[in-house]
Amino acid sequence: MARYTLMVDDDEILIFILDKLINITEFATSPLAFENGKTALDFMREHYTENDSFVIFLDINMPVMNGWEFLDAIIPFTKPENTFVYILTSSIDKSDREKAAGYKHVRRYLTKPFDQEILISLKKEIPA
Amino acid sequence: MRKENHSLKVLAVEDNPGDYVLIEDYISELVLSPIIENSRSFGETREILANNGHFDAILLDLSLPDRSREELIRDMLVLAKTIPIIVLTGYSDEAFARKSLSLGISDYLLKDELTPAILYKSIIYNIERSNFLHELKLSEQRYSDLFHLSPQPSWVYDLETLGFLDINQAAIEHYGYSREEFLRMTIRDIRPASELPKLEAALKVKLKKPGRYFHGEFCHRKKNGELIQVELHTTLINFNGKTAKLAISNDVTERANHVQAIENQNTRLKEIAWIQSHVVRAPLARLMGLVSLLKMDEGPAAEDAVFMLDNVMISAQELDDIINKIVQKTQQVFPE
Repeated sequence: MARYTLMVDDDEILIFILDKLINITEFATSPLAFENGKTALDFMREHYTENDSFVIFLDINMPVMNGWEFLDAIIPFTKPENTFVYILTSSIDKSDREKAAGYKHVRRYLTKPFDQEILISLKKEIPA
Repeated sequence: MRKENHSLKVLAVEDNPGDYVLIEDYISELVLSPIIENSRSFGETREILANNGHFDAILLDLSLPDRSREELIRDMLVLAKTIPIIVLTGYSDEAFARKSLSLGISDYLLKDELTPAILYKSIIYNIERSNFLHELKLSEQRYSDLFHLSPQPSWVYDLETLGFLDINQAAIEHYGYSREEFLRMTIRDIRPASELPKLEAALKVKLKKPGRYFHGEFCHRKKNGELIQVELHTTLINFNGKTAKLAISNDVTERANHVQAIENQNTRLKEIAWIQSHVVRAPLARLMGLVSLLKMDEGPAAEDAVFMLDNVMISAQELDDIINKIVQKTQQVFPE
């Protein structure tokens, strides 16, 4: 049984920061970076199994395929029991937050910037 | 017969002393202490009327030494103003006397058939009639003033030809056409071509009952080509015997422009709010993330530190650009 950590964001600096934080806090060893929802969806289609677990840090506003479209696309073939989505966005729009609450896969709605305290608290809520 | 007790002031224009005495006697028979003045010529009459103020009625003989018949009647009517004129004449002139009614005199009496009762009745009747006509004229004038002095652009148009029949001052000032220009135009001419189908449709609605109708908003064109939005109210009226419509126009262009301006302003404010929550937050989040990484105890590796500091600067510049855009948009929202 493996655990995959996905970082889905078109902003390479935010990927860089998140990657550093994940390494520093030892949240995961080798997080995977995706520049939009489409490339992350391709990965999920190829690698998803019920035996593994998937932690996904998901941006909302992205070109090609945005965060909502990605969520809608993975719902049919993934289960919320082993797929933990953390919305990670710079948007502080109330409507985005309300929309996120409608998805079972979404564990938390986090606004950037992101810091190590949050990562440490997330580490506790994800089953090993 | 009982004598009337209200004062009566009559001017008898009569050059024949015998006829005058008769008139005086007849009037005195039925009226208690009447005031009767005698004038023997047109010239004297002019002086009396200029100096002596008001008479209740004028009794006029048709042949005076200095003026007679039609010329006399025309000039007397000018002098008399609102005082009723009763012509006294002989059989020989009856046809002419009858015709003089159309010139504006109030009544004519034949001297040969004159009795105190006939004279008295004619005087009283014509005084009353004259007062009534005067009131009617004042009333017409008041209505005319209401139309002409109204600050609301108004006009009357012929329901058949659609030609303008009357235009008030406010309409002349607001639309820019002179009264003469208006009178040569139809109500089609104050509308842009695109509005004509709407006008035709509105004209097809036949109004049966009189009353004020709200016609809705229309687009009109002023003489200078400027288009205005107006609310129209119309009323079916009779104008000098023609079926006509009175239209009252209320220019709501400014109100419409004002609403449009507020809507545009709201759109721009929404854009600014969107920028605040999405676009500004992106470089800001990056900046805060980079700085918190730089501050950490372990410190970044040397090659990472350069990359991070470069990106702190890039994000700061991006933020600066965005703020400039917001300033520009804000100026569009509140133009000078």
